[in-house]
Amino acid sequence: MPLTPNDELDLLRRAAHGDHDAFRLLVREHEPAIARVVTGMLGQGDDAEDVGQETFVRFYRALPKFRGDSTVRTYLTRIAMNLSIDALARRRKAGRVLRFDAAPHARQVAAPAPASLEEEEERASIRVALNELDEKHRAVVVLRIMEDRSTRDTANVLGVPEGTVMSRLKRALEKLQHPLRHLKDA
Amino acid sequence: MTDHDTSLLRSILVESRGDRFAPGFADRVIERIVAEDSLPAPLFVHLWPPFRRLVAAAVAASLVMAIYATTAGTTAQSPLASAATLDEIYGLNALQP
Repeated sequence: MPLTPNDELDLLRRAAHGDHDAFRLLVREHEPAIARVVTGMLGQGDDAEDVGQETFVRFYRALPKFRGDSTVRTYLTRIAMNLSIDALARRRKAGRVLRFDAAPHARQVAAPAPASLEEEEERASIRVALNELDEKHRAVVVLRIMEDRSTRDTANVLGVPEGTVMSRLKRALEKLQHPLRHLKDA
Repeated sequence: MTDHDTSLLRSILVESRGDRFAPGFADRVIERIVAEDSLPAPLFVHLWPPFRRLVAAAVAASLVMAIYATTAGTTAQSPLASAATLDEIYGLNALQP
Protein backbone atom coordinates (compact mmCIF):
# COMPACT_ATOMS: atom_id res chain seq x y z
CA MET A 1 0.00 0.00 0.00
CA PRO A 2 1.49 3.39 -0.96
CA LEU A 3 2.54 5.75 1.81
CA THR A 4 0.30 8.70 2.64
CA PRO A 5 1.96 12.16 2.55
CA ASN A 6 1.85 12.25 6.37
CA ASP A 7 3.43 8.80 6.66
CA GLU A 8 6.15 9.85 4.25
CA LEU A 9 6.82 13.07 6.17
CA ASP A 10 7.11 11.10 9.38
CA LEU A 11 9.51 8.62 7.77
CA LEU A 12 11.59 11.48 6.35
CA ARG A 13 11.90 13.08 9.80
CA ARG A 14 12.89 9.78 11.41
CA ALA A 15 15.34 8.91 8.64
CA ALA A 16 16.95 12.35 8.91
CA HIS A 17 17.72 11.48 12.52
CA GLY A 18 19.42 8.25 11.49
CA ASP A 19 16.50 5.81 11.72
CA HIS A 20 17.51 3.14 9.20
CA ASP A 21 14.23 1.25 9.44
CA ALA A 22 12.34 4.39 8.43
CA PHE A 23 14.71 4.94 5.53
CA ARG A 24 14.34 1.30 4.44
CA LEU A 25 10.59 1.89 4.08
CA LEU A 26 11.24 5.01 2.00
CA VAL A 27 13.58 3.03 -0.26
CA ARG A 28 10.96 0.32 -0.75
CA GLU A 29 8.34 2.94 -1.57
CA HIS A 30 10.39 4.69 -4.24
CA GLU A 31 12.44 1.76 -5.59
CA PRO A 32 10.12 1.01 -8.55
CA ALA A 33 10.18 4.59 -9.88
CA ILE A 34 13.96 4.80 -9.58
CA ALA A 35 14.49 1.31 -11.03
CA ARG A 36 12.41 2.24 -14.09
CA VAL A 37 14.37 5.42 -14.76
CA VAL A 38 17.82 3.93 -14.10
CA THR A 39 17.25 0.75 -16.12
CA GLY A 40 15.59 2.83 -18.83
CA MET A 41 18.82 4.81 -19.06
CA LEU A 42 21.41 2.09 -18.46
CA GLY A 43 19.66 -1.17 -19.23
CA GLN A 44 19.61 -3.88 -16.58
CA GLY A 45 22.77 -5.00 -14.86
CA ASP A 46 25.35 -4.19 -12.19
CA ASP A 47 25.71 -0.56 -13.28
CA ALA A 48 21.98 0.01 -12.78
CA GLU A 49 21.99 -1.58 -9.32
CA ASP A 50 25.02 0.51 -8.32
CA VAL A 51 23.47 3.75 -9.58
CA GLY A 52 20.21 2.84 -7.83
CA GLN A 53 22.00 2.29 -4.51
CA GLU A 54 24.06 5.45 -4.88
CA THR A 55 20.87 7.44 -5.58
CA PHE A 56 19.36 6.43 -2.25
CA VAL A 57 22.63 6.82 -0.32
CA ARG A 58 22.98 10.39 -1.61
CA PHE A 59 19.37 11.08 -0.72
CA TYR A 60 20.01 9.76 2.80
CA ARG A 61 23.04 12.06 3.16
CA ALA A 62 20.98 15.02 1.91
CA LEU A 63 18.02 14.34 4.21
CA PRO A 64 18.99 16.89 6.89
CA LYS A 65 18.96 19.58 4.17
CA PHE A 66 15.88 18.29 2.31
CA ARG A 67 13.21 20.99 2.59
CA GLY A 68 10.53 19.40 0.46
CA ASP A 69 10.64 22.07 -2.27
CA SER A 70 10.09 19.23 -4.72
CA THR A 71 8.50 15.85 -4.10
CA VAL A 72 10.66 12.98 -2.88
CA ARG A 73 10.08 11.19 -6.18
CA THR A 74 11.21 14.19 -8.25
CA TYR A 75 14.21 14.75 -5.99
CA LEU A 76 15.25 11.10 -6.22
CA THR A 77 14.67 10.99 -9.98
CA ARG A 78 16.90 14.04 -10.38
CA ILE A 79 19.74 12.32 -8.48
CA ALA A 80 19.19 9.05 -10.37
CA MET A 81 19.14 10.79 -13.74
CA ASN A 82 22.34 12.75 -13.05
CA LEU A 83 24.13 9.60 -11.89
CA SER A 84 22.84 7.66 -14.92
CA ILE A 85 24.04 10.38 -17.31
CA ASP A 86 27.48 10.27 -15.65
CA ALA A 87 27.54 6.45 -15.86
CA LEU A 88 26.60 6.55 -19.55
CA ALA A 89 29.32 9.13 -20.24
CA ARG A 90 31.86 6.88 -18.49
CA ARG A 91 30.68 3.91 -20.52
CA ARG A 92 30.99 5.86 -23.72
CA LYS A 93 34.53 6.91 -22.85
CA ALA A 94 35.37 3.31 -22.07
CA GLY A 95 33.96 2.30 -25.45
CA ARG A 96 31.14 0.25 -24.00
CA VAL A 97 27.76 0.63 -25.68
CA LEU A 98 24.30 0.36 -24.21
CA ARG A 99 22.11 -2.44 -25.44
CA PHE A 100 18.41 -1.61 -25.44
CA ASP A 101 17.43 -5.25 -25.48
CA ALA A 102 14.28 -6.44 -23.86
CA ALA A 103 14.66 -7.74 -20.32
CA PRO A 104 14.28 -11.54 -20.19
CA HIS A 105 11.12 -11.34 -18.07
CA ALA A 106 9.70 -8.58 -20.26
CA ARG A 107 10.00 -10.77 -23.33
CA GLN A 108 7.76 -13.32 -21.71
CA VAL A 109 5.36 -11.08 -19.84
CA ALA A 110 5.08 -7.56 -21.21
CA ALA A 111 6.26 -7.66 -24.79
CA PRO A 112 3.56 -8.33 -27.33
CA ALA A 113 4.45 -10.78 -30.06
CA PRO A 114 5.72 -8.90 -33.12
CA ALA A 115 2.93 -8.47 -35.63
CA SER A 116 5.13 -9.04 -38.61
CA LEU A 117 8.64 -9.26 -39.95
CA GLU A 118 8.29 -5.59 -40.89
CA GLU A 119 7.53 -4.62 -37.30
CA GLU A 120 10.45 -6.70 -36.06
CA GLU A 121 12.71 -4.79 -38.46
CA GLU A 122 11.26 -1.51 -37.17
CA ARG A 123 11.96 -2.52 -33.60
CA ALA A 124 15.52 -3.53 -34.45
CA SER A 125 16.19 -0.26 -36.24
CA ILE A 126 14.78 1.78 -33.32
CA ARG A 127 16.97 -0.17 -30.86
CA VAL A 128 20.04 0.63 -32.96
CA ALA A 129 19.10 4.31 -33.11
CA LEU A 130 18.41 4.37 -29.34
CA ASN A 131 21.85 2.93 -28.69
CA GLU A 132 23.36 5.81 -30.64
CA LEU A 133 21.53 8.60 -28.76
CA ASP A 134 23.74 10.61 -26.45
CA GLU A 135 23.00 10.83 -22.72
CA LYS A 136 21.08 14.10 -22.75
CA HIS A 137 18.77 13.10 -25.58
CA ARG A 138 18.26 9.65 -24.08
CA ALA A 139 17.29 11.23 -20.74
CA VAL A 140 14.54 13.26 -22.40
CA VAL A 141 13.26 10.22 -24.33
CA VAL A 142 13.19 8.10 -21.17
CA LEU A 143 11.31 10.70 -19.13
CA ARG A 144 8.94 12.01 -21.81
CA ILE A 145 8.21 8.86 -23.84
CA MET A 146 8.87 5.94 -21.51
CA GLU A 147 7.76 7.53 -18.23
CA ASP A 148 5.15 9.75 -19.94
CA ARG A 149 6.13 12.73 -17.77
CA SER A 150 5.11 16.25 -18.72
CA THR A 151 7.54 18.68 -20.33
CA ARG A 152 7.52 20.77 -17.13
CA ASP A 153 8.24 17.78 -14.91
CA THR A 154 11.01 16.60 -17.24
CA ALA A 155 12.54 20.08 -17.22
CA ASN A 156 12.35 20.14 -13.43
CA VAL A 157 14.09 16.76 -13.12
CA LEU A 158 16.82 17.64 -15.61
CA GLY A 159 17.26 21.21 -14.37
CA VAL A 160 16.87 22.73 -17.84
CA PRO A 161 14.27 25.08 -19.36
CA GLU A 162 11.13 23.55 -20.89
CA GLY A 163 12.22 24.80 -24.31
CA THR A 164 15.40 22.74 -24.01
CA VAL A 165 13.35 19.64 -23.23
CA MET A 166 11.19 20.23 -26.30
CA SER A 167 14.15 20.85 -28.61
CA ARG A 168 16.04 17.80 -27.29
CA LEU A 169 12.96 15.62 -27.73
CA LYS A 170 12.44 16.89 -31.27
CA ARG A 171 16.08 16.21 -32.12
CA ALA A 172 15.97 12.76 -30.53
CA LEU A 173 12.80 11.78 -32.38
CA GLU A 174 14.31 12.98 -35.65
CA LYS A 175 17.31 10.73 -35.05
CA LEU A 176 15.04 7.82 -34.20
CA GLN A 177 12.75 8.49 -37.14
CA HIS A 178 15.54 8.48 -39.68
CA PRO A 179 16.11 4.70 -39.73
CA LEU A 180 12.35 4.11 -39.76
CA ARG A 181 11.90 6.35 -42.79
CA HIS A 182 14.81 4.58 -44.44
CA LEU A 183 13.10 1.25 -43.78
CA LYS A 184 9.78 2.44 -45.19
CA ASP A 185 11.41 3.87 -48.30
CA ALA A 186 13.24 0.63 -48.98
CA MET B 1 7.22 10.48 -36.06
CA THR B 2 3.80 8.89 -36.31
CA ASP B 3 1.73 7.70 -33.35
CA HIS B 4 2.57 4.16 -34.41
CA ASP B 5 6.31 4.93 -34.28
CA THR B 6 5.98 6.63 -30.89
CA SER B 7 4.05 3.72 -29.41
CA LEU B 8 6.64 1.33 -30.87
CA LEU B 9 9.38 3.38 -29.26
CA ARG B 10 7.56 3.40 -25.92
CA SER B 11 7.06 -0.36 -25.99
CA ILE B 12 10.78 -0.94 -26.74
CA LEU B 13 11.77 1.31 -23.85
CA VAL B 14 9.30 -0.36 -21.50
CA GLU B 15 10.57 -3.82 -22.52
CA SER B 16 14.14 -2.87 -21.70
CA ARG B 17 13.51 -1.37 -18.28
CA GLY B 18 13.13 -3.12 -14.94
CA ASP B 19 10.33 -2.36 -12.52
CA ARG B 20 12.48 -3.27 -9.51
CA PHE B 21 16.07 -3.99 -8.67
CA ALA B 22 17.07 -7.47 -7.49
CA PRO B 23 15.28 -8.63 -4.30
CA GLY B 24 16.74 -7.19 -1.09
CA PHE B 25 17.63 -3.86 -2.69
CA ALA B 26 16.52 -1.75 0.31
CA ASP B 27 18.62 -3.91 2.66
CA ARG B 28 21.67 -3.48 0.42
CA VAL B 29 21.19 0.30 0.47
CA ILE B 30 21.10 0.30 4.28
CA GLU B 31 24.17 -1.99 4.40
CA ARG B 32 26.03 0.47 2.17
CA ILE B 33 25.08 3.40 4.42
CA VAL B 34 26.21 1.51 7.53
CA ALA B 35 29.46 0.47 5.83
CA GLU B 36 30.20 4.06 4.76
CA ASP B 37 29.43 5.37 8.25
CA SER B 38 31.84 2.91 9.83
CA LEU B 39 34.75 4.04 7.63
CA PRO B 40 37.22 6.40 9.31
CA ALA B 41 36.79 9.96 8.10
CA PRO B 42 39.43 11.16 5.63
CA LEU B 43 42.36 13.12 7.07
CA PHE B 44 41.17 16.46 5.71
CA VAL B 45 37.95 16.15 7.71
CA HIS B 46 40.08 16.20 10.89
CA LEU B 47 42.43 18.90 9.68
CA TRP B 48 39.85 21.23 8.22
CA PRO B 49 38.43 22.83 11.45
CA PRO B 50 41.77 24.21 12.78
CA PHE B 51 42.83 25.14 9.25
CA ARG B 52 39.54 26.99 8.79
CA ARG B 53 40.27 29.11 11.87
CA LEU B 54 43.71 29.95 10.47
CA VAL B 55 42.20 30.95 7.13
CA ALA B 56 39.64 33.15 8.88
CA ALA B 57 42.39 34.89 10.87
CA ALA B 58 44.48 35.43 7.74
CA VAL B 59 41.52 36.86 5.83
CA ALA B 60 40.70 39.20 8.72
CA ALA B 61 44.31 40.40 8.93
CA SER B 62 44.43 40.98 5.16
CA LEU B 63 41.23 43.01 5.34
CA VAL B 64 42.59 45.18 8.15
CA MET B 65 45.79 45.80 6.22
CA ALA B 66 43.91 46.56 3.02
CA ILE B 67 41.67 49.07 4.81
CA TYR B 68 44.69 50.65 6.49
CA ALA B 69 46.49 50.90 3.15
CA THR B 70 43.46 52.61 1.60
CA THR B 71 42.69 55.06 4.38
CA ALA B 72 46.32 55.89 5.17
CA GLY B 73 47.23 56.21 1.49
CA THR B 74 48.43 59.80 1.94
CA THR B 75 51.48 58.65 3.84
CA ALA B 76 52.47 56.57 0.79
CA GLN B 77 53.72 53.85 3.08
CA SER B 78 52.76 50.25 2.92
CA PRO B 79 51.18 48.85 6.08
CA LEU B 80 54.28 46.68 6.49
CA ALA B 81 56.68 49.61 6.16
CA SER B 82 54.54 51.64 8.46
CA ALA B 83 54.47 48.90 11.02
CA ALA B 84 58.25 48.57 10.85
CA THR B 85 58.61 52.40 10.87
CA LEU B 86 60.72 52.28 7.74
CA ASP B 87 61.36 55.44 5.72
CA GLU B 88 59.88 55.61 2.27
CA ILE B 89 62.20 55.09 -0.66
CA TYR B 90 61.25 56.82 -3.88
CA GLY B 91 62.37 55.73 -7.35
CA LEU B 92 65.88 56.95 -8.21
CA ASN B 93 66.62 57.99 -4.65
CA ALA B 94 67.02 54.36 -3.90
CA LEU B 95 70.05 54.18 -6.20
CA GLN B 96 71.82 57.23 -4.79
CA PRO B 97 74.42 56.79 -2.10
